[in-house]
Amino acid sequence: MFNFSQFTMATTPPRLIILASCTALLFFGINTPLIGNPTGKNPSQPLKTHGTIDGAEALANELHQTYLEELDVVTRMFEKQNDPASFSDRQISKSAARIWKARRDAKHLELMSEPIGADLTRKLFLLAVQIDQFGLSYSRTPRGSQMMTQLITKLRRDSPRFQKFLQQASASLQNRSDPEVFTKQMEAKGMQMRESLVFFRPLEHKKYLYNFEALLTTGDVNHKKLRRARYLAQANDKIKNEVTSAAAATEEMKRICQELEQTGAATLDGDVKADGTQAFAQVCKLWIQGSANLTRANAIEWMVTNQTGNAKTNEIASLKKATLIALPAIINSVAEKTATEQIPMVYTDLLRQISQVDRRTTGRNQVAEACTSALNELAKKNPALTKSIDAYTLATNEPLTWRKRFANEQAGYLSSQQASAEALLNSKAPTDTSNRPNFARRPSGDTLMVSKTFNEPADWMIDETAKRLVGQSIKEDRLIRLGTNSRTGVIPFTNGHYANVALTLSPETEIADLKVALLIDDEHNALSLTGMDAISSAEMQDYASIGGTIQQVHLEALLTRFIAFPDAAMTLVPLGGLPQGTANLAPLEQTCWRLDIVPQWAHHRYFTVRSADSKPLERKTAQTSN
Amino acid sequence: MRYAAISSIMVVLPFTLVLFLAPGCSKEEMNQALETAKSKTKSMTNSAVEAVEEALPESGEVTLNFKPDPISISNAALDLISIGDGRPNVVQISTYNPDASSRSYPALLLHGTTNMSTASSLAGEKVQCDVYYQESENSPIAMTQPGEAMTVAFQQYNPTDKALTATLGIISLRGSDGSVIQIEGGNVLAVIREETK
Repeated sequence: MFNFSQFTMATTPPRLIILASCTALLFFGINTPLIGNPTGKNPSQPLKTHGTIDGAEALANELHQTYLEELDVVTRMFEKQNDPASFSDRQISKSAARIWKARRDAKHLELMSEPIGADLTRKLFLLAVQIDQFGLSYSRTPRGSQMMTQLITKLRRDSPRFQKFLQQASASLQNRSDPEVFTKQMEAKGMQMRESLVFFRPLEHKKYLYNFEALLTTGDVNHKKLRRARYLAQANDKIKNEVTSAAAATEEMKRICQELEQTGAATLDGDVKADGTQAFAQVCKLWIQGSANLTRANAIEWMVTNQTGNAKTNEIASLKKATLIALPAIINSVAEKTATEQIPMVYTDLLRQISQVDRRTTGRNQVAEACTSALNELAKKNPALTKSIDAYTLATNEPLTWRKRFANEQAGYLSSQQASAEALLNSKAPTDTSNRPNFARRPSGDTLMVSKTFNEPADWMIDETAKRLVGQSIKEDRLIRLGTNSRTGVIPFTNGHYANVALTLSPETEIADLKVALLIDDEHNALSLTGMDAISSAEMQDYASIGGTIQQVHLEALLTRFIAFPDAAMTLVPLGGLPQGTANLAPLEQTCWRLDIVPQWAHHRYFTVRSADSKPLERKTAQTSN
Repeated sequence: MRYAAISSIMVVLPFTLVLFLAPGCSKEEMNQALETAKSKTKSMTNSAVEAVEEALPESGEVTLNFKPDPISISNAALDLISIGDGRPNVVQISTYNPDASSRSYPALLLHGTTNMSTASSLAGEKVQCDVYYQESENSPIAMTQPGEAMTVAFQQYNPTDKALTATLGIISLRGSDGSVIQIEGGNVLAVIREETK
């Protein structure tokens, strides 16, 4: 009826409070009461809004409620579709008017770049089709025929008044009156007309509407222009704020480096005087914060440009460059200011930090490579340490090489029975529409396990996908723990999905064994970067791959995921990179699937660990001695 | 690196013959190779089996008592590495050259720690070692289970050959394919390759 051409708009999310404790809530915990994301367990939950345009969240809540109520009406009527005489004409009128208005509001939500807007547009269209059908069916019943006669009389009687209204509306358009007022009045009149016209064939509508639709369309164009400009300005403001914050992070890195170089200490948050290792940690933190700023800015750009090409690639590269300059500079300052006997302790502290942050970047070893020279200079200040590092490397290299090969082979056997995430998610399976509303159940062919676009109502999609995926075995690569104290690991976003993995495995025995091979005890830490990476990744439970069972599936919108993106979720996007959407698909229509996985096994680079209830390795071959 | 100078000790008989033909050898190296060859030639006058046994001391040997058939691996070198920061020293016995681009098979590594600081003082010591073993390039890898270790009991130090003998304890290894591999002990004759102090 009203064809708003879709354009997208960006907003910045309300900043979530970034606390370590909120990460659990973010990924596993409680969502806001009404707006969450649909899950396999609760498919009817609406898509979460990023809610950055004023009123978007409230409008989404209201519309979702309307949808649920009208869905209930339509479902009940559909059950009696063979007995249209039992329909209530008042109910049909009321529903037709509400759905007409709701569809317009859903388009407004789309204008606000809320993915739920597109979803509601899809859902409400399906309801409108049914209501129209019920209206026509009812009009052909004996009671309906009588009602039609009365309706036609009424419409004719009201016609002069209606035409006068249209003249005023036309004048209002010419006078460029307030589009808000115009829209409001036109919508009120439109709802009134729908109450009657739902019983007429579409071709007859024109006879009673005159130029109403043309006027409304013109008004919509004007109003949309106004809203669009307002929302664009808001979006660009948000982008600017995020980019400014990222730039501030870079400046802060420089300041920390300078202060440390000049005074041997750096003033950090809360006027705390920090030493070199704390300054190093702060720069890593600033990298994460700045990257989160740019990830959000980049996602808002997707909306502004209506495509998921990454606009903030240069900024991300600059931030990385600044970080990789700051980190070795800090080590150089540390080398200058640290007493010789303190150097071994500082050295291992830095090794641990480097290994930790390196696993969270797009390419491994980038941080280590940038810091190697400075680290060597630091070690040289303590000749005994240099000697120990060489001996340590020599003494641990062989067991690490063997353990790595052993773990690789074990992981090969462990994963041989499991489909990789890519293979599983791209496989097809028959559609089962039995849980859909009664008016939408129909035979259907094979469809992809997960869809990259919202091509059907989100609740149908999540129900379908969850039915197929929950309980399935899956193998995922690269698990990164969300935070030091978090019980959740994350498979970073790739190929339209990410995963939350409950850290339920118990690698204590393997870690203890690894420590023996790495000559680590309470007083001695790893002295090589390889050794430190081995132990720090084991203790963090950062794994090379995992295999497990899908316990739950969530359907999120790509835009919402990366606009309403808390700093604490930065693990989803390796540092130095940006999330990649699917080219040639409108951002508003792109999905982001989240899998909750309970692991059966994990592959650490130097060992594997299995859950207590997992089966033994599948392939058992007796090894002969010769 | 450190291994470069040591690796020549691992040269076995066929290669000593090549040395005669190799240009660029120093006089000392030539004489050493000649002496080695003489000793090998002498031992080869005995029976073939004895000859092999006699030929081994220069490069070491490991016998692993798998059931039903024991396996012998020629070449075994021992490293004693001191980290120097208060940690125990590392004893490492390998049947392959860690610096070589490819491994020789069967490949075995024993890795443990000791408070002894010289190879000679290891004689009479028992060292708990992690075991890593692979029969061939494509066979599963076996290693000690977490928390377990093989007891390596060093017996005698031979200052002439700079070699140590040791007996190996009984151990059950886990295979990378889930199999269990039982070793009913064994023997080692390892030449000292590396001794950092």
